[in-house]
Amino acid sequence: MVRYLGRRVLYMAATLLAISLVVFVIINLPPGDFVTALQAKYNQQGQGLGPQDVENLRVRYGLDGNLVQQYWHWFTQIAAHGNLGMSFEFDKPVAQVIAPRLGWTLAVSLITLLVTWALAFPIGVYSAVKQHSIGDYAVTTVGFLGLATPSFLIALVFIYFSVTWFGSVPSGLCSPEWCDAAWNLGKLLDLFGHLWIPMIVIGTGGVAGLVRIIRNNLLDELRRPYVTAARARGVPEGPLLRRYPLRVALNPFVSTIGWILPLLLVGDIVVGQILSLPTLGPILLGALKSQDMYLAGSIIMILSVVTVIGTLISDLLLGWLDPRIRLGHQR
Amino acid sequence: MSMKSAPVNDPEGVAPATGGEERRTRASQRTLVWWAFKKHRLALVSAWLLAGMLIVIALCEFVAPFGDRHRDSEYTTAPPQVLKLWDTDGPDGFQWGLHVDGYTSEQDPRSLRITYEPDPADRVEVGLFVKGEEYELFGLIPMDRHLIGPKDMDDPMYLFGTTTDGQDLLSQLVYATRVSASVGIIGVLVAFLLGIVLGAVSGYFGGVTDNAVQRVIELIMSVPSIPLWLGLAAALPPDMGPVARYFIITTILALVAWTGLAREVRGRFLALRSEEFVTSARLDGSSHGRIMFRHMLPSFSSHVIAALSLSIPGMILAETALSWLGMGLRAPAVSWGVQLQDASKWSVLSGAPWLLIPGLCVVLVVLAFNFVGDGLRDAADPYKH
Amino acid sequence: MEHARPLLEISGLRTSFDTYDGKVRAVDGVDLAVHAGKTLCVVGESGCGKSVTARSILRLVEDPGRIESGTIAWNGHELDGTGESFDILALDPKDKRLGRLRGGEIGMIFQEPAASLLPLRTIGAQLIETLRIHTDLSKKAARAKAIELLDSVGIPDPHRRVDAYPFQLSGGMCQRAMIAIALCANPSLLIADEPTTALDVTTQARILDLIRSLQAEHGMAVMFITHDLGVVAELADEVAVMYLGRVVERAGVEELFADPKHPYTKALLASVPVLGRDRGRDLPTIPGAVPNPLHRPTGCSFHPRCAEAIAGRCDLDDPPEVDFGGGRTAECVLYAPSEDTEGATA
Repeated sequence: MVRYLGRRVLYMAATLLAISLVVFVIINLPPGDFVTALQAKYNQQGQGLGPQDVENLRVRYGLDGNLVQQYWHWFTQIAAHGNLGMSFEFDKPVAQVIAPRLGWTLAVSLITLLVTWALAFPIGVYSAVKQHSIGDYAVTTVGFLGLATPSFLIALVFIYFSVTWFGSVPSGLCSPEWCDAAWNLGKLLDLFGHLWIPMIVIGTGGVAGLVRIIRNNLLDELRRPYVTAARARGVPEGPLLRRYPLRVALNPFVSTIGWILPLLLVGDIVVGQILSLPTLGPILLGALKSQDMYLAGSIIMILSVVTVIGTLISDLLLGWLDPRIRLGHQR
Repeated sequence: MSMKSAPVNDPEGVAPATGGEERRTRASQRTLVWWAFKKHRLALVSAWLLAGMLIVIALCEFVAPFGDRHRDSEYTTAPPQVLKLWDTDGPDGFQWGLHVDGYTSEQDPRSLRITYEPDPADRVEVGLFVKGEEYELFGLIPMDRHLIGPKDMDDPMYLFGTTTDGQDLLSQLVYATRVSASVGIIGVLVAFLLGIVLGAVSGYFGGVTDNAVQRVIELIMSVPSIPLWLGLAAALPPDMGPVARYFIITTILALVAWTGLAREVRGRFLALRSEEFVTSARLDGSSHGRIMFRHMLPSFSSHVIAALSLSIPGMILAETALSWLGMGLRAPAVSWGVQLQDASKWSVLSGAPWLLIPGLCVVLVVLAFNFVGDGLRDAADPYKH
Repeated sequence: MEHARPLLEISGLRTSFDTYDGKVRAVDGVDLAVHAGKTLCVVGESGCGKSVTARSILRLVEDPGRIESGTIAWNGHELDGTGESFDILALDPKDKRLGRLRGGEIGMIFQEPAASLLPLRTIGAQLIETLRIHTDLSKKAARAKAIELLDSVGIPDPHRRVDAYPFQLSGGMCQRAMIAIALCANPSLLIADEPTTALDVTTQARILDLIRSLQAEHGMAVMFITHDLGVVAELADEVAVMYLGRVVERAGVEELFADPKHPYTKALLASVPVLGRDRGRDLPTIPGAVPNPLHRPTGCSFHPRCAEAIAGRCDLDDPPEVDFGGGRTAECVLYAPSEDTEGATA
């Protein structure tokens, strides 16, 4: 187990390093750097920057050396000081722009993740155990549709019906009268009243994908010899399902955190855009469009880190659940 | 010693095969896969749908009633018309003839918004193979005939309604289909090229090579793909031409998508590596490349085609989302995602639900590719059932 | 000599599978009897329906398979005076008697021991689970009993092995664990479905020895499914030879080897090498392959491969079942007591 754990952590570190490289490349892809943009801005306002000022600014932001030195400066600033750079658009350190929204993003994603699981697991199990029933066909059909429909399209359809039936679109995460209120039951209820729409829009693809995974896995497991063997020794059907094939089918389910989390985070980009949620999605989009690269790069980095941590957690859970992995019989 | 009976060379000894069985034993691998595929009804229907789509893509200019630059500022956000075969309340009572109803417009005095209504009194004659805008079929043959269109080029015939810019949604959809579907197909082919070469090398040689390639793939896979797409797409210069943008976006999508295919291919090569036909080809002195691509690859080509077909939907969905967010293709290029941008303002969408028709197209095509892929995969695995 | 009442009596069993290409009749009218304390070996090539027959007894045939007709009488209770006989196939799936039968009165072991155990739970957990289903032992007592059982099937160091996962044990050890599970409630019948096929030869011999000694110890009957005539010679009291879903010959083990009746049995025996005799010569094989059960030959299903087939007869008419007395039967026209067999040469 220790070896397995060590491997995973080492692996995570390597992945994070790779991600930081990719993000650095993305930040530096558009022509010009932060100081050039600043220069252009001052020029527009009629205050020219002298070559000396530019040089000083470059040194200050660590943009003076070659690319390798720049990467090193950027990386150490993040690793040692949590300094993600400056946002050009907001004229504030990136950390200050992101911090208040990160909590909401994680909250919406995690709640959606839990709801997604809570829905997908029983549906998937039902559909596999009752294979070829009407319910199974319905689930499979809806699942296919859910996987084939981009989340923004679901959002658009939602908005259409919301406007034609209720005359408005519930946007944001709280009603105006509650937004500035302190936390209490009313605000919490109001929050859930708003949360279900982004949850449906973000979660549909995830539920559809998970149902499909658990259904296929369980169908595979139900045909294994150990199920017949357990039945032959008189294990009753209920416990048989729970203790045997479901235990095995749970494993791939756990390892889906790795891909479902980024799916939800990306769903947030789309939904946040339409429903104006106080999450990272809309900011990322704005930053990308205006090529505010430190902000955009940082958000991409954070989303990636969250994903990698999610993968690590699912790997650890898997090791805990599956003795073959824990005891090193399978990589 | 003379007791040896002939277990193999005894065609009379075996059960007299029925016609079906004989046909089966003589059929080639490809024919077998096709027979199995035909049983999958949904996949077959989907395959026809995709074939139809390919024809539309090829004959895009001919199928679309109007050109892709056509704009009619007189009719913006006009609702779809119904194509009618006959007329009962025309001047002479009942009357045959393909036509649609024209529009009457009405302006809201307060919001100044113009709304259009189909007007049965205003009859627009519609014909097949009518003269319309000039174009060059396949970029070569100059033509001016269109599959369907108003007999008078300047009359409004908008079967799917118009966009907020007054473009014909149907024509735009036809052109968008060409762009979106081809992004998926070309992107997957590029990804496939990368995937098959690296997957083949990795699976065929195994050992250190395999290990190295697999680690790289795992690393790429662990970077979440959509933020990566967004970041790379955002870094493109905004003044880039539509054609260059199209190819770069396709390449970006492919660069992230090849890993899955590479894994699939690698798994197959790994499984086949110790098969006898590979050993014998090697003993025959065939080169590695020849063994890999002449002997091994053809033996699982149906699997590869299935995997390809199953990767296209992801590509199409990614392009659609990217373009819809404004990070992918941009007007004047049309793709499904670009078209759906029109529908993102809820004030517009609430009065013009037909703007969601491209979305329907996305769902249909993605479903079709999924079904065909599933059908092929099942057909390629005759022992799975 | 006729035995009293068999422990288990299968008659007219038909089990079929619905496939895309049509209905496959895997078991097509099988009659078998297992007598208390005796060993019945069911032998035949792969695909002859012997495993499906075994699975039908405990109603383990799964979708798309279906038991179509027949009766399987369980006389265990009548024999030891604890109750009445009943037809297993007529039981409601929720009937408690079916639950008691499975793993309680009938133990079963399978071809792939490692795959027949759940890899995620220790063998101890799976053994204790079965013990507690069929006995009212406390958890602690069940564990002690589990260790004892593992010891009795020859698993060394059972105190430690009870907490081992199946993937930590060899195939032979897994099969021993499976046997311990099958025997934990003292069954009166053990069904062994090719339990040694997946094991290497020495392990095979040890498992056979184990089954034989346990049988002597517990006095249980064994129904042993195999394709290996060597195993048959070693274990069987009675033998049933199956071909394409039917029993073509029944005999005591000595009679079968000394005087096989059915041409298929003869061919099977001829294809087994005999030490000394067969050195340096090619073994005869049975021509052709087992036909696809979807396209079963008309008449006797063995006639296309049969060296003694009579044209115009074997390929048209179903062969009669000839009873030689003493439980000996063969399903072949060669022994039919009618006058028009004279053209046949045995």
